[in-house]
Amino acid sequence: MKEDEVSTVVGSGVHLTGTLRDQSDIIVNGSVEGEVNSDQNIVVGESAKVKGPVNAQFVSVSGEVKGTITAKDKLEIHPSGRVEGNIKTKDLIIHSGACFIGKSDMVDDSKSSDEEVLSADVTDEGTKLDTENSAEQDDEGEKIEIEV
Amino acid sequence: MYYYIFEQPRNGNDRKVHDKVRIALENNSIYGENCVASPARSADELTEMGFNKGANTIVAVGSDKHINKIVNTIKLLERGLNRNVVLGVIPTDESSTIKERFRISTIDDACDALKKRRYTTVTLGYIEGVRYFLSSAEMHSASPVKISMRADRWHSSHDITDLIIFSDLTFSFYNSLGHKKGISKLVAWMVGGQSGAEEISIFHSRTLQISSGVILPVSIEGEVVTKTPFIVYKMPKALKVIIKRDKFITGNNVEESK
Repeated sequence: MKEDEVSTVVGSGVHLTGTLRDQSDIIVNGSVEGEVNSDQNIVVGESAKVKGPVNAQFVSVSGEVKGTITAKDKLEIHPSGRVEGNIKTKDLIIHSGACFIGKSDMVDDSKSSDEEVLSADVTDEGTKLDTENSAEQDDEGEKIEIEV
Repeated sequence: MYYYIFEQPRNGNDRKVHDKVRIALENNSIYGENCVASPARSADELTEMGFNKGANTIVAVGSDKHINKIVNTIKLLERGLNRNVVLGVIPTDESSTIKERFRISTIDDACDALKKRRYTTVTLGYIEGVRYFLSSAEMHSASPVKISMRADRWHSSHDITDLIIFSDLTFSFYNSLGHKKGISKLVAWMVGGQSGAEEISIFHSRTLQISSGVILPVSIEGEVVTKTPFIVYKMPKALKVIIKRDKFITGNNVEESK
């Protein structure tokens, strides 16, 4: 990648349809209907809405994402963030107040065959693992409901 | 052969600057043929004359507007005559973005670069059927106008007041919504990186198709060159340009020289 390359930025109030692809960072403050792909980082801002798959090394969500997120290195869902869709990452941070509805596939470099499947709904009230009532077994692993 | 095309001087100050350039060229022993644009002989005609005389380097001396005009004529002639020339630039305006882009701080800097003749191949913007440009094309409206954009893989439609398209087809738009400093905010974003202004959009593309609800003029360095709708293309490695250092800024990216 070239030095000092300017990020792609979808400004607030902008609605974009199609595939957004960039080698450098992508910052979404508006709404995107379609794929968002970056070789580096994707930041979904508080006012942002993304409807479609999101793929990058690092993904930070403070807005709304309805679609699959693949973050090769790390995925962070901030308190104002809402994710409806499956996620796949090596390192996952869900802050208190965030909302995540979907399955999580944790990619482990050392044990690539191991999978952790997680369905979480996070609110401001604290974290509680409800494995007694809602835990289910499926082909991919244990499904856990989280309430915070 | 170096073929110098000076912009028509607008005032005495311009004449003084031109004299300074001539002295600097002489001090650096960079000789060539000098000519000055005038109502009788435009910069376009002079560029064509330079081509016909077999000049291998055409040096544009003047404002960004003058340099862009020469860039356009060189590209049109290259296409027609199937012969390439190298462009040298001596930007004379204090506020020149080309000066910034090629990291030329003084006239002596520019002359020194010409002497060393280190060049790189730069990307140009091309407004279909209208103009090649080295700096940027702009659109402005006092009130928000509905614009439809179609880039490589996406399309969108929204209200904007300011749009700037750099030659590498990095483009940015903004809806000032009553903020009078829309474009300066936009330029500050481009120069200083992320300013946190959420309203500003920045994209990169290879082609960009723009249409608007109301017909809007498109200008390059203050000169209206076309109006909406129009298509802009990124023309990678389109022109050889003599540069000062081993790095320079292309639109908003830094490229290595050869």
